[in-house]
Amino acid sequence: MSVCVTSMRKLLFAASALVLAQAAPAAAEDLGLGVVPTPEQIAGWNKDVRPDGVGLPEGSGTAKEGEPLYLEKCAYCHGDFGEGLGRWPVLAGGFGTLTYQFPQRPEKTVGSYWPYSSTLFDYIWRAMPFPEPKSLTPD
Amino acid sequence: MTREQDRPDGMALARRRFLRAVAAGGVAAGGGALAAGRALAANPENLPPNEPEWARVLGPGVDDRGYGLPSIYEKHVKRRWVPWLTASAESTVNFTPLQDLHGFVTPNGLCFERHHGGRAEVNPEDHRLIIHGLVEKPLMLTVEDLKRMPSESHFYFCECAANSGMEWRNAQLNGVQFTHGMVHCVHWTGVPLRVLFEQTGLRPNARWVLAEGADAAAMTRSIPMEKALADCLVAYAQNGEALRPEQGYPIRLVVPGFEANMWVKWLRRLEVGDQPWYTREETSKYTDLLPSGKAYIFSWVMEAKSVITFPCPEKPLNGPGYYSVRGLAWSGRGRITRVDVSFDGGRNWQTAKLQDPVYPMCLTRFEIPWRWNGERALLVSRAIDETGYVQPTMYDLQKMRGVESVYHNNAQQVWEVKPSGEVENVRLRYVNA
Ligand code: HEC
Repeated sequence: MSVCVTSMRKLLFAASALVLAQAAPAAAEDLGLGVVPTPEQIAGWNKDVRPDGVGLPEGSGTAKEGEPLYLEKCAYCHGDFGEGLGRWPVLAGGFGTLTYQFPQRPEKTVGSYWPYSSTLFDYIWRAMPFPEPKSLTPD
Repeated sequence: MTREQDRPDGMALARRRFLRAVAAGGVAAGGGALAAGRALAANPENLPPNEPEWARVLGPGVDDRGYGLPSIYEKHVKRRWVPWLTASAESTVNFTPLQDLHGFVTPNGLCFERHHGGRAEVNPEDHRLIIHGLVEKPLMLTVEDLKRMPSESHFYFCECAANSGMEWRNAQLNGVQFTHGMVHCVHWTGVPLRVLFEQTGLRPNARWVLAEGADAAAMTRSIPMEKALADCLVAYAQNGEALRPEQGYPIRLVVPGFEANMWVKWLRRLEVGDQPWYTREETSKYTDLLPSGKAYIFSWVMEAKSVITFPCPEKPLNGPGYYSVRGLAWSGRGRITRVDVSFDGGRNWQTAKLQDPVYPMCLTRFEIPWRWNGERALLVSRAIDETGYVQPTMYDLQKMRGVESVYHNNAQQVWEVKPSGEVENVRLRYVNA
């Protein structure tokens, strides 16, 4: 059936992209355009964090230390307990709901659906709080 | 062909239908939009044998408009959005008015917008693209540097993975603009990623590219290197002019055939790595939840899809007689090879004519003549692409995917044409399936 084929192909495509050895582009003429960025210039923007921890900045913290910050900068949208105020995104809960079928709805939250905690750090650092992105520091 | 505007009660019909959609789905978007800007009644003074008013006065000169605008009679042709979909206008979507477009190219100002942190207004002088990571030589480029490099121009469609995403459970939004308007098709000009990586060189373990935007959301997506080298572009122009700010001015990534979220706008950084990053937009979002509770990840390709754009809920029929039924088809895997149209809900099919040109990963216009006898009809189209893939029915798609995928709904769209000429978004139930 066509639908099966689609989904299989999606999986296969993803898999092949992961395993195929990469043919590097042939050496080409140096166009002499652009400059080599300094390590500081790269570091200023290179803030992504991978699941294996690559990219995590120096620093430490605990949920307790973060709580006042969350209450001040995040809770007015996401709620004191991550329940989401109004139409703002829900961040917590939803455990065990991913297999819910109509008319029940699965609830995809950081807790119930996100596969890696690194993504949480990476995303908040670059994009939250929504009205003041990139205003948080790692420590 | 008689058009809706020619029909005295056409607007009344449109308005009634629109209000019904409000009641059903709560669409509060652009109320009266269908009626806006139309000449409701022709002025007989302008009709033959009289000389119309514009033939009896001098028009504005060439100094009037440095940048042209559509006719004041086309004001209803605009992007629209649905406020109840999301909490804020900065992270949401508006829709391309497919019902008002011709051919396969989308005008720049009508390309749907989807932002996660609002539209960034980037000064190109202060913009840089940094390429680093597993490269031999990192590079920082200005927009002018990019424009000096070898360029390519291609037509590609760009479709949000969530296009038709509200339609999984049932027929929801009563308008082709809202069911299918998260797609546009543009002539892109830019520098192939291959050319850029030739300049930086790649380390042997270079398998993935992280693309990052300069907007508030700092949109990030992992692109497989195979795709990056195959046909991705860093585009600086669309349809012959600079990118629009909504489309990522001054530069955006073009990832042909793949979901639009990967086409990172306001592109400022390409990092080469040996693994994907599993960013928020490829884990929390843009993954397709299945009934098992597991989800597809990296489901990038937009599969073959089509929709009839005339008639449609916004463009009803004006009495029995001859009509050219028209629509759009596209596939992220290559060229469209055939589009079939059914007038009886998919029991019988006829092959439509594809209008030239038919490009890979590009919108393709199809058309089929129809003599409407004034009876109820169920119009459906199905696209077939060069891999032989056939656009599925919603029934088949749901068997495979359930109704909670949100993304990648490429099911056949059914429009019910009523004896009144009104057209409605409906869902077929399969009794013996
Ligand atoms: C003004 C309201 C607002 C504030 C304040 C805010 N957020 Fe958000 N948050 C949003 C919106 C809107 C989104 C969704 C953005 C999108 O659509 O891409 C979001 C998304 C998120 C997500 C991802 C949710 C998901 O399931 O994908 C996380 C995590 C998050 N915010 C954390 C935070 C944290 C931590 C703070 C405080 C430092 C914060 N937010 C402050 C509005 C807000």
